[in-house]
Amino acid sequence: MSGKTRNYRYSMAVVAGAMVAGFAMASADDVQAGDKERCYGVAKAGQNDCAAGPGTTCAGTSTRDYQGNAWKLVPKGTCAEIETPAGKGSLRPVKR
Amino acid sequence: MAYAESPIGISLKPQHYSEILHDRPQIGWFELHPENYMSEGGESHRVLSAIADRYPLSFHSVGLSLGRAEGPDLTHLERLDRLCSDYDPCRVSDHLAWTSSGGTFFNDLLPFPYTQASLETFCNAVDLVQTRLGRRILVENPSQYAALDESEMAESDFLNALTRRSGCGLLLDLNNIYVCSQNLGFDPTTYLDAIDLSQVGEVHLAGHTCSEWMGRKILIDDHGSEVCSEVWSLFADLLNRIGPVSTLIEWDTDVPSLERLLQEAEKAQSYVRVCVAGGELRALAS
Amino acid sequence: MPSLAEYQATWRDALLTQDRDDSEFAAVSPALAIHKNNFLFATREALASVFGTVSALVGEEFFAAMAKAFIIAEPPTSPVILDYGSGFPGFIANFPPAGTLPYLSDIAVFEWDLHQVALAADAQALEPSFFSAQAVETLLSLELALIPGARIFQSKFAVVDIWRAHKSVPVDLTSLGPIDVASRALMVRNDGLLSVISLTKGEKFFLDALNNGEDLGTATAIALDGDPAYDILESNRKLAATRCFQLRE
Repeated sequence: MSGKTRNYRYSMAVVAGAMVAGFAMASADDVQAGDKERCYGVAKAGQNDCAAGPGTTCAGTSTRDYQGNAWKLVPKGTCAEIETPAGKGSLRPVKR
Repeated sequence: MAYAESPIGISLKPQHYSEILHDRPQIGWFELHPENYMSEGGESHRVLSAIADRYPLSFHSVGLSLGRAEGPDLTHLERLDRLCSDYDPCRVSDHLAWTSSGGTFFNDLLPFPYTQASLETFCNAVDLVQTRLGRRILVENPSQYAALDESEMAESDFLNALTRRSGCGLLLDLNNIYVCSQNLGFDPTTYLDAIDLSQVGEVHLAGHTCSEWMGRKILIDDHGSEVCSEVWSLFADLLNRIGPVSTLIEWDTDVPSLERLLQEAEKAQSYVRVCVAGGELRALAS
Repeated sequence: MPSLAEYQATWRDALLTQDRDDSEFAAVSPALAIHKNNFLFATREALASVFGTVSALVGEEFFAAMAKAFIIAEPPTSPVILDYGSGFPGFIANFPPAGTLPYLSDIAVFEWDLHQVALAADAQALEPSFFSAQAVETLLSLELALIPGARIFQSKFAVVDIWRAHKSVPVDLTSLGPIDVASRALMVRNDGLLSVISLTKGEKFFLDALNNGEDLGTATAIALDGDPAYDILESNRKLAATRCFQLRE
């Protein structure tokens, strides 16, 4: 991508100087300002297996797939605790 | 099927990866679903390579859909073949079931009626797979929740014809036999009487749960608990008939600690020890 | 007696029907209801393990219903269930009951991206020492690409903060700032570790430019153009240390 005709407002010499200085300081041991997590946790995600679903238990506790009507549901998880400009939970009024 | 060491294996679960790599537990082999390693890269491959260096691997596929009318999933067969080349598993198996059809994967082992026509279809599928992989595969007997009216023959007859015609082996799931016996109403030992046990290449032991559907009590193969005493009895019966055989402790739901899984494997091992010593096995007191 | 193909077509239709009660299934086969439950349950579990923050945000019951609607509308097409779920963020965006949470779809995009980063092809990234060893002219004309296990994420909502807040057990949202604040992040996998690194506006411009095939000098100029506060020195130090780059082929 050399030979670009577009003009940038900055001197390439300044850019180059800062680039070199930045790279010179880079080290793999740098403490990054990011979250790290072991990929093991992610490796569990979405796996195939050959076990059947749990079904209802004979003790009567239902662990069956939820059969209810999704359209009547409102979110009930941690989203309700999130502060938004429109108050807690949602950013928008529910459209009905 | 000579097993001087341990014929007992356990399911390979991601939650046990680091412990397995670190502690190198005494276990004969690991079984895994190849589908879970069909990513381009990632940590699971690095781990699997390290485990494959130390233990034999058994590939237990859920994706070939051998029992579907349109023939097995050939795209999946290619993926499986590649993975086999990469990891050289000691055994490859799939199920007496269909899992995808008409472009949809149903993520479950679906039943089909046992008829001459479906036998034809299934034999062709197994033939195709064995030719492509260049090896014999094992086919596992499934759990059934209700009898299919359309079936013309018993499952054991279907499987005997299948192994005879296609040359494949059997993966005998004793928990599935027990689950079927309860749901369909037969004596599980009659299944062992009926099936050609000389074709058994691997055995599965697992737990099930009891469920209620439409007022009926039905056993479900959720693989979420320890092996029940009736299934241990079946295992003893089988060992008396055929001797030591590669056996998997299969635990997929509510996966316990590796230690607990190894305990269950040790229990299976103790059955095998008695068998090797020439003893007649009764279900050992659990 | 139906042929095998007809038999399986009947099952397919029944398995992909949104709502039927057990007695209707019983007419087709008493086993069908159980298998349908197995299908929906296992597939929903697969989605829940990829989209854990989405599930936590809306609660299990809502997630189950939304996942079921998605599974019926866009069922898996491949037996590799690891690959299932790419359409879920888009489905959420158009799922009316989730309309009160306009950021939910972006959370799903974030979690899907992270899942892709975890499964992407392995590649050797350029070490920080590679950059410091180059002459200035070489650096300016260097053509870089992100390794397969690296992705850039952007949302007009505080998605990264919401995701981070859900990683604590129990979930603590008290320190969460305003939600309608844009977030940008680089996800990168190296040596079995997944990192999520927040990006400044300039860094996002810079990485996008590199991804579009610009050389390092041009990409830096573009970043400066788009974000006058872009700190070349700090950003190069930070980005080189993430080991997210490879040479463009």
